[in-house]
Amino acid sequence: MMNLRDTETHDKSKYRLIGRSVLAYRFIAPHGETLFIGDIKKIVDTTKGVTFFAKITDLSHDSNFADPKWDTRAYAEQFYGLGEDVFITVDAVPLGFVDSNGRFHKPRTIPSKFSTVANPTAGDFRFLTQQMGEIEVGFMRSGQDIIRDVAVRIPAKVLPQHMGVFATTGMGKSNFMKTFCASCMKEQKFGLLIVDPHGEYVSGGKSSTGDPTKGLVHFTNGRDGLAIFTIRSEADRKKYAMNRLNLEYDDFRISDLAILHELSGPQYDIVEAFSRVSGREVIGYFASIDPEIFPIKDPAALGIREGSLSWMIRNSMGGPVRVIQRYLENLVKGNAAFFRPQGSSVPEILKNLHENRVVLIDIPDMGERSELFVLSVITRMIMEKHRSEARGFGIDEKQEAGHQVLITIEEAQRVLASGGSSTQVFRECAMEGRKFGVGLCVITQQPKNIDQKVLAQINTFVVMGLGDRGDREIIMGSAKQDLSRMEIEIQTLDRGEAIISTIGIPFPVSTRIHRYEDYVATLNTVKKKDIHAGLATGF
Amino acid sequence: MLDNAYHGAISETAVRIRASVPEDLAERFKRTCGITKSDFIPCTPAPPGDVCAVDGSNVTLLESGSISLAVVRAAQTTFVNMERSRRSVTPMTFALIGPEEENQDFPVLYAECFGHPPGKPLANKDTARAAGILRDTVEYWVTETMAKDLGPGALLLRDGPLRVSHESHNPVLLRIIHACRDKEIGLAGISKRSAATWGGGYPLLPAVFGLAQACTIRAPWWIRIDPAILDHAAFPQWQHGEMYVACLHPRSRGPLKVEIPSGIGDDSVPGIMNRLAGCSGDGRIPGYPYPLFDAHRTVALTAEIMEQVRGDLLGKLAEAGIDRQTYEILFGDYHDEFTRY
Repeated sequence: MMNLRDTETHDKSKYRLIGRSVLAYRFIAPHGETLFIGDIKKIVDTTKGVTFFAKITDLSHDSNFADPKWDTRAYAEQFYGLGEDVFITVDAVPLGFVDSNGRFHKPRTIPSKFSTVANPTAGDFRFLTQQMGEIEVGFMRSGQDIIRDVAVRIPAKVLPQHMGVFATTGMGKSNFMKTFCASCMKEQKFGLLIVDPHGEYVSGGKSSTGDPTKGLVHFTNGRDGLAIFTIRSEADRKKYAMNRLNLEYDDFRISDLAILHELSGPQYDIVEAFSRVSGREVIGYFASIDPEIFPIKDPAALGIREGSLSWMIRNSMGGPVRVIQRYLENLVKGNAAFFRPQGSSVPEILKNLHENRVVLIDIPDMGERSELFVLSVITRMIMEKHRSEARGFGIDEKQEAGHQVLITIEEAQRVLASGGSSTQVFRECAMEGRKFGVGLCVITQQPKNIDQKVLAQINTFVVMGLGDRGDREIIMGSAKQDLSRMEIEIQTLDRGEAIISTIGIPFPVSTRIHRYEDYVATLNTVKKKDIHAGLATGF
Repeated sequence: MLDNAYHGAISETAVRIRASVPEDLAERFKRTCGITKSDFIPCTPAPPGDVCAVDGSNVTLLESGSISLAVVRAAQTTFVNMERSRRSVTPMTFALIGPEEENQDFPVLYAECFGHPPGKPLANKDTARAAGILRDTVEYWVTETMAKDLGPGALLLRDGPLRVSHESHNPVLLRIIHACRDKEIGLAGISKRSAATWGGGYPLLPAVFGLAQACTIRAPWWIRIDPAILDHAAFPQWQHGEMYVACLHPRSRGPLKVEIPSGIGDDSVPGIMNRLAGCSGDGRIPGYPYPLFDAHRTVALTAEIMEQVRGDLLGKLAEAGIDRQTYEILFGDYHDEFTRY
């Protein structure tokens, strides 16, 4: 007897793995499905008993039709029954797999053909939660969705190996930094230095979109983790328990001028000659010298004894001496608010950093040169201190530095561009700092203008929206984890979103950065530890 | 010299084709057959409701000098307001054509489909025709099955005319027509091409289409064809449909021949045509009823399917003791070798 067999109406062709390689997964989804770049999918391999994870990197329309141009030469607007043959081809990059013991592994194998592709649940990410660090910055994101059960926390131990924050204006860089600071204040795992020439970090201001923002002082529960050094009035200082910022002349080295000004060869010769001379001596000398006596043909006639400062630069022409003199005069006058002959906050700053506090140097309305001046002085002194501490260890003693400090450099391309020897202190910090427990937090809108050698030292990348293709390529080429397949996601990152790649977390994590104001509001509601807690056992 | 002969042959062929489709084909058609603009009836595309389309497929899988192996199957797809509700296919049926004069598998297949042997045997002389009749057998069985299954008011479409090619199918088609009439199911046979001619050999479809264009009639439209204007038709006793030509969409590639059972009443025809237009809007094949397109895609024995079947058969032949060389001697095609070079 002849019979008619119903063809299965259930469409099994969708959401099953058809990719062909270890590094490129592919599956198809219904043509009307809403999928997003960055969506994380799990691939359940029942044959091997493991679950793979992959992130969507590209979406394209495709069909089973032999005619590749069926859609461009359609003769009418209506189509019936497209669902089976017209679909979205989804390309995904593997993140890794979790074995039956819940252990995560790099994607060194391939899922079985036709493994089911599904949406992961919060429970699926338990392995990731366990591998996260301490410094919380946001929630994990899967495409447009936020996975609130998976907080993204950067491991504190990798931060002295430098961090880069890359974003164009308006992408939420300041919000990220404040959120990062709040977590650092809360956890107190290392010292964090921030120099703020705009006065935004202390008590907030306005975001680039014009919305009012809060400052670090508003994180009241974390206040113990914050030390502020400021040039603000005494009334303001008292209000927020801030310290007065002072740098003394001896904190200064003439080589700091090279960071602030483009020096000519002859000018640089003078800087070199005085490189070991104390700041107070140099400033005093140039305040009193008459540049017209240079070059000094007959030192004895002018009463200049051998070994004196004038003798050291006796062959310099009057012009370069005059320029250096003017630079120093401007430096002293321009920074009079905190730069003075005696009395320095630097020891106190170092102490706070070594007590793992966030140290905020608040110099509102002081301008870029003052910011760089303060930053270079403190960075140099941190490096000197940490170097001398390291020298103090014996040959068989543990060489790792006891103190960990992260120094933030905003618009880092100013001091870490390729080829500049004038910014030696920052370069040294980038190249050698990790040996002494000193890391840089490099913040820039133009990563392509940062020295490649510096980028190569960075182990933690926080990539926010980058519109420039050259910038994206530099970042993808420098990150320790492969970001090359995530270019579309980087390109389409929205404000407040980031991809965080760090050696502590097994794969680059798409993150929705906490809104600082919401984050500190939550943190402030957490009950503080009773001041008496621990006393019974402490004494 | 050779080039001249070649170009001459091409030119002569073109002239002969042109002679059957003259420049003034539409004008001649109008003059000879007396058709006017008012004979074209405009269609108003209507919701098609329940539509079932049936199609069949046949492939000659293996061919030797004395024997051929045909594979046939048929399928149906049913739509409810253009959402497919069900589709089904018959199993692939294998039939040997030859070496006997009469086909040995036809009576078996026929009986399997209709419960009794066919009234007339099937000759193996013309392999392609025999394969077509075998396919028609399962196709008519599916059509009859669906005529019984469908509810009143449905539309049952068959790919091809309402005219049988083998006498044994005639009672089956009559049963289908009666079943549809009894259940008020609209039955239509849709043909993409037609052998129908008029005026001593002029093709019907381009003449009708040309005349519609000359009269600036915008599709969709349909027109009834008076059998009196047509040239002689073979086996008129097997013809059970009245002929219409319809252009079902403004972007249609050309008109279709539509056959509707005789005697169902003129009132039913516009409704069927409107429903046909209502399901012929798909952007891939505008002007062709989408359910028939879907049935074709469901039933088609594609090269991939045939490759699989050929492989399976080879395995079974090996088990039966026919080695590869014997197989090649029997069914090997030197053309397969030729195409490699």
